[in-house]
Amino acid sequence: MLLSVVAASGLVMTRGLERLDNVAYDAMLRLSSQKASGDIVLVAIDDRSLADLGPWPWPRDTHARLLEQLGRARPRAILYDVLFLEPSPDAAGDERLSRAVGEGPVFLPLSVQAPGLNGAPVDISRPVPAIGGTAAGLGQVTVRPDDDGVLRRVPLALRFPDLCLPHLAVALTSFLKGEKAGCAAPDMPNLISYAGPAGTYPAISFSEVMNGNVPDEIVRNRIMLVGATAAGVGDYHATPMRGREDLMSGIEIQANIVDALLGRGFHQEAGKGTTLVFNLAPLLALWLGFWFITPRQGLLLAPMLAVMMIALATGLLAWGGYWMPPMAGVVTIALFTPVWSWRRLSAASSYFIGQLTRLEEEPGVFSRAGGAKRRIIPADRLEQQMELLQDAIGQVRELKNFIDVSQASLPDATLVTDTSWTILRANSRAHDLWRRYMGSEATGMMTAYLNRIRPWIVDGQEGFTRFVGEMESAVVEERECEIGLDDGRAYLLRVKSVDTRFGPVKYVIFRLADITELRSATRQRDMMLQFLTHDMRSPQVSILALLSGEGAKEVPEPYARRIGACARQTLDLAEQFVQLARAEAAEYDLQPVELGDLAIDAADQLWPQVKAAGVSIDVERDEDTLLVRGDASLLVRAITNLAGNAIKYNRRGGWVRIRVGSPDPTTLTCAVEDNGRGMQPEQIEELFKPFRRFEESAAPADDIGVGLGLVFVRTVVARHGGRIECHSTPENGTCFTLTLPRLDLSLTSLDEAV
Amino acid sequence: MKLAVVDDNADDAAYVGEMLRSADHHVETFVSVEEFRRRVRRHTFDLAIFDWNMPEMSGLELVAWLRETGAPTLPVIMATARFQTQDIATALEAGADDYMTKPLERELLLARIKAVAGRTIARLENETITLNEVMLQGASGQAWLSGDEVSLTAKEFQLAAMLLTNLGRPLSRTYLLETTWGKSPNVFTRTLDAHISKVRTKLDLRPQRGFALTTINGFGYRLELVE
Repeated sequence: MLLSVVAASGLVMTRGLERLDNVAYDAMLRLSSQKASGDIVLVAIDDRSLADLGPWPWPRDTHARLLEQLGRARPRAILYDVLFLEPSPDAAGDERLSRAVGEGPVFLPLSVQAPGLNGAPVDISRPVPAIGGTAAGLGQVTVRPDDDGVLRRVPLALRFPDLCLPHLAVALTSFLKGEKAGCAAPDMPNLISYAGPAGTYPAISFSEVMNGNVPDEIVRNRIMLVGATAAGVGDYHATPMRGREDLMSGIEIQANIVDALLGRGFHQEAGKGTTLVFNLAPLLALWLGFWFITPRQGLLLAPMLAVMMIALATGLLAWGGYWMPPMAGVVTIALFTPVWSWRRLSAASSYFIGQLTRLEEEPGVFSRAGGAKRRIIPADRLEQQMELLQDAIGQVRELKNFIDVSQASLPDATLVTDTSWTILRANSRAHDLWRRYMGSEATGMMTAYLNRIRPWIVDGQEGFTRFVGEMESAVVEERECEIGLDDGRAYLLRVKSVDTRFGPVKYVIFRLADITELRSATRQRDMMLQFLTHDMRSPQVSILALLSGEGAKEVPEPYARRIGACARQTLDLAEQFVQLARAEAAEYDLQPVELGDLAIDAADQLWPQVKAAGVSIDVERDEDTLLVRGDASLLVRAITNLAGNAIKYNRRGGWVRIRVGSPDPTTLTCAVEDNGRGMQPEQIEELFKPFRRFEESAAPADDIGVGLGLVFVRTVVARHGGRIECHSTPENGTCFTLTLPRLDLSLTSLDEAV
Repeated sequence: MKLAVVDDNADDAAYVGEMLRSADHHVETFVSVEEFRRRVRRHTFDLAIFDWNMPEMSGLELVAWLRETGAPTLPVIMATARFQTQDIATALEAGADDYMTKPLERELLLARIKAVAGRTIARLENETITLNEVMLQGASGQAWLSGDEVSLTAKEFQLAAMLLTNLGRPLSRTYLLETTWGKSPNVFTRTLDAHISKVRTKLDLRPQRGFALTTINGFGYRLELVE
């Protein structure tokens, strides 16, 4: 684009296409020929005149006689285009001519040589005063053909440092209009608005006039232009009008100039600025056109613009007399349309290749069996690309098919909407669901349906409300809520917005999973837990109450103690079961908690056992705040379970140590260490297996609790994203180490700052 | 003190009643909630102990009824076989003054009764409190541990005073936050935990010194004395 503008501007500014513009101008001029004024009549010094009146130059007497002859018929003015620069030997003839010139308004040419001889800026040769003195006016008749020899422009005045010479025609017309002949007219070359080809103006032969064969009415009140047309005497010039008849005589050119000056005017040439705008506008139009129209239309647009430019230029010239050179624009369009088209094609092609390559690099859904099909014989490059494209389109089709099939066979009802919540896709399960509950297929706006299900949201109502609000602003990321329908079925609605890698377009996926079974299982588990927490424990509590109350007197002491121990054990087991169930199934209440504080909580809770066992317990904690995102009660219980074991299986006077630290910025550790009995390696392996001890009848019932306690610890730690390790040396001690992810301090610094 | 024990299990009710009578309390036991509700309208008790799971009306509902209509100021201890942390928090949030898991231990029960009786939460004014060599001077806001002055921030001192003047009583986070940070405090949960942790360390509120500071998950804190 830039290049074309520069080229067009350059062509306009340097007139590089002047010749081409001239050709256009000539053609247009011929098309728009003007009407010749009937007031102008040529008197031609033609071959016939020479034959009748003798060879050139003629005596001044001959000229005088002609002027006398014309003068009798009373013309408006006579332009006598013959130079009388020096006195003739026939002084009487000169005098007669002088008189004749004085009779009617006669205008005579003068000769101008610029630059002049001997360094003078200009040499002006005037008619001899004897003759010129009586002339109504003098003027120069300089012609300046263009480079191609065609006469298009005439300088209406010649300006020199100390004088100004108007054109002869100007002298004549100024006289007729009663103005002073001068340089008032613009001295810039004016484009001659030719009335037509040579012969347009009526011409009569000099000798005809001399013979008196010309009626007076032809001359009366007309402007007579006398000049040579005979071969070897007259001057001939190429004009834009040539073609129909070869050349135009100087006198007819003068006639055109006079005609232009008198009435129809000259053609004006546009300035460079205007020309530039005129030539650049269509280029811009073409360039803009490429953005909005198809290449085929673009191909039509270019010649259309060129034709429009030429037509416009022709119109301006014909009706406005204004010459606007159009060829720079036309040529630039002609040159650059193919270049631009080629550029576009090549850009399209390389984009094509780029995209295909990217597609190729995509992690494919399908095995690339298509690659083998590729032709080995080198084909035409375009053909290769087309083949690649075909390949790619095939893959995309296959992919679409795959998506269709995948979505249709998804186990859950799945819908996809765009960000305006119009349902784009829905699988058959979604349609089934909609038919059952909404009474129609799943189409239209998702929002309408969401408002209808609102009364059945059983869990996540708050999140759902926020989600519906967010739908307005299209910022949903991920939400879920549970829907419990009146018929007892339960669904989990999960919403997730998706960005595609290729653009900002977002889709929203709605998935409705049937969780009816899951919910009933959960309900059953909850009932079982309820049973364990209360209904199973209550009788045990009553046994203990009976034993320590009135019953204490009835039951012998050793039995009472043993029955009490059994009841307590049952209570303990039930508690362990419930804790484990909760650790495994329940949702955790995750908060930022300080692991050192939790360790102290655990140690303090164990104080009665510590005192009873006669051991010591220590908590070593880091100075730092060691935060973990966790459920405080479960973590404390996990530490309590470990430390409780460490106390239980220790010797009197032994020690238990809980060390909380952070080995690296992303992890926390809590080690529970003792110097107790320790374990054999195979015992460690068995540690975390629940109910394992049931199989070995010899194991004390107490150990089942231990086993459950450790499974609880492992479960809790795993669900916090951590792990547990155990190192033990028989007779030396055991060390359990919990490793948990450390909560980034920057996330909680705000918290601490308050 | 005049105590009411409400438990649909007659054995449990009798056991608790006997336990309390042996500590010179005057006890009335109820196996029917309705019976208790009739009685409490005409009679003033100093404290009531409710079971949770009862056929006519759960202990929780009974507490709610008491707070609304019956006797808003009557201190209540929930005593039940339920032991899960969320149950404890639920009961305390519902308006019970304390919560105990069955089987009940005599000494602990008596201590808790003593702690919550009266139903007003004490504030340390200008007096000085000394416990297990921990001394707080209300007038000056200074604290000593075994005779050495401990530097506490104003908020830490307030928290320490709240805990030490309300021994055995569960104090809710909301209450602690409001009394220490002012009404509707814009404070993160962690902030209170961090302050309590500081107080516990600085004043050595540990079992070795005879203190047990318990976190009641989902509710708050309780400081009590241990041997």
